[in-house]
Amino acid sequence: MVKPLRVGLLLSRTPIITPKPAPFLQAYYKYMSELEKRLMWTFPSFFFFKKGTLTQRKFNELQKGPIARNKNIIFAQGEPDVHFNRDRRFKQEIILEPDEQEKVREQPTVTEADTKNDIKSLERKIEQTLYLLVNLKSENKWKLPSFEVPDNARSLHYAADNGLRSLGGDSMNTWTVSYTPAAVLKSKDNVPEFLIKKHILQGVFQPDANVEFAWLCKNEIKEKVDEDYFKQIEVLL
Amino acid sequence: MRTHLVRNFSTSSALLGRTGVSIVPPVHHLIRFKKSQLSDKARPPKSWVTSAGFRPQITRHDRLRQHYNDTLASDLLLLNYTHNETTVEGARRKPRAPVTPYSVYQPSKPLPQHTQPTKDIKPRTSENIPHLERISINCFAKPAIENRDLAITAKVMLQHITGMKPRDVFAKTNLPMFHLRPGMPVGAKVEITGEAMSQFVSTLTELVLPRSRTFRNISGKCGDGNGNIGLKLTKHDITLFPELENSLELWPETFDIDLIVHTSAQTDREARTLLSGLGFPVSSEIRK
Amino acid sequence: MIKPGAQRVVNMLGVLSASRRQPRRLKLCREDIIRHKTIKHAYQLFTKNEQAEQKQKLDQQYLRIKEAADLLQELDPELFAATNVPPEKKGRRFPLELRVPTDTPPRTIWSSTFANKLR
Repeated sequence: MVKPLRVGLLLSRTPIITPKPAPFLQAYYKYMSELEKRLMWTFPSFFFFKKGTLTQRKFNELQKGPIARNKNIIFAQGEPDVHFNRDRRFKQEIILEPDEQEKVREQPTVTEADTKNDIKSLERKIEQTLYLLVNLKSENKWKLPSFEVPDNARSLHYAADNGLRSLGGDSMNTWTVSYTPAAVLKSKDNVPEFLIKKHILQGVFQPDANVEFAWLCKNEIKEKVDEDYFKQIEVLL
Repeated sequence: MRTHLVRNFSTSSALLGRTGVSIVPPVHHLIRFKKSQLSDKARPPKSWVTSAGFRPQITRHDRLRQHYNDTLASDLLLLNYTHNETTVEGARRKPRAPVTPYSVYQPSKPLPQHTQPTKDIKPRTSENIPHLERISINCFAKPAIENRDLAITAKVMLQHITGMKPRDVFAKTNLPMFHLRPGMPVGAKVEITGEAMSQFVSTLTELVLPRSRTFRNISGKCGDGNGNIGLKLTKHDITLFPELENSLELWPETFDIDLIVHTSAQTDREARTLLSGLGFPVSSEIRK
Repeated sequence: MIKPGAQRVVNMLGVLSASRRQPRRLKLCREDIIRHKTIKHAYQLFTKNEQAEQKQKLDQQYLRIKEAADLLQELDPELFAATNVPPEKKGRRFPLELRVPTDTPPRTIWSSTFANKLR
């Protein structure tokens, strides 16, 4: 009827936005970008704005002109070295016209699901990977979805796919990373569980009422799941 | 031996009661140094802050790299895994069999005619997950054969697209049919790495290729056999780059470019899988 | 008098050349040099640690894959044959929907409607 092994599902939603870099890295990037600006060649405004055109006049009006060298002035902090409207001792600051119409309206990185802390939503924690955890009423244990493998199963990933459909409905677009299992989990009753890795691309997980589920990130899984179980799946997350 | 590195002044021997002779134990043979750095003309390397050619390499967070480290690397490890894989030997010159004491000094068997030696394909582990290495962009501007100045235009075009300084390309062959003579300036080329490469890949996959009229996908026959994938972009595709898009009146002439994406993949299939993960559309028909 | 076409070429050559556009070389005092070296070294240490962690994670993942394949081969050779794709037949592609993450999210963060046409 069924094979003496099970197939588990590591279904994940990959990040939607890049995570904010660590404070040290932010400081490092600031330092290096300021260095780059200081060492950058002068902007070739002669190429982009032709002499005598209106756009050139508008551009020049916006820029703060550097103080030119003058024989009759003693510059206490060094004589200016100005070429193409830039003092070569300092970084160049280009001031552009604020274009209100074309301004990109950035969406907030903290979503509604974040503020409500809705663990069933896929729009929560969009800078981290979320994994599907399931709590069947019959077992009352939080773990990755796990299914039996029928005797006539063509392959593990087919069994996993069918199991996911039967559990969570048909309106999910998932992608199997590989037919090869990512790991094998050993349970107390000696039935090995081979994990198939998948990513959810579209849709929602819609199970029956007796199945409790959550989309959680690695730190949250650590709190919800048994210690031994987490030790086994820690590396894969 | 290292204990003799301290060089004492000649006067210290006199204090100890020995004859005050200026014998200084030599250390030049114990310390490794580059003789060129001692010369008056020695300059610091380009990577040092105060040198003329210094340019900071990492100035912002690389989101392509972040995506690779978070998601792609472990997915590629799983995708490319084959159980109990062994090294597949490439074509190479082999010693003449049977190996006897006489045949040892005989020249090895040459490869069959018209075959080149190929690399061994090693088993895929966590040590050799395919990643992007560099992108070579070559722009052969055919109109530059008639008008020399267009080679300069091609160079500026590449500089604007990539953010790195290109080099001139001169003709090597003599083709009187096409009026091509060796030494003619005929375009530009540039090799981009690091941050600039990630930015270039992002603009390609998100802005240029989706809007291109001619580009469909990377074909299943693509690749040089060694994991490097070639692409062609038409002169219309170049106008879709955001750097040129806003000032198209300055660009009456743009040129076709050839891109080669160099990856550390061992086969073309692996390279195409990697590119599909980075956002490139790859054909489903695999023929190579 | 310059020809009208020649001015364009002169401008382009100006864009490519560093003459009068390259700023002065940095003059760093001893303290500035120490500061710069410290920052560089700190970054190298930080990234070295991160890279070492990442490498260790991938190495452990590889061992888990190998362990799973070994066990599956032992238990069920048929299923194992279905999971093990030889290198000549490989060519799986990442889907285009698995996008490279951006700095800020799109207007519709997640498309929750999907009509499965396969079934």
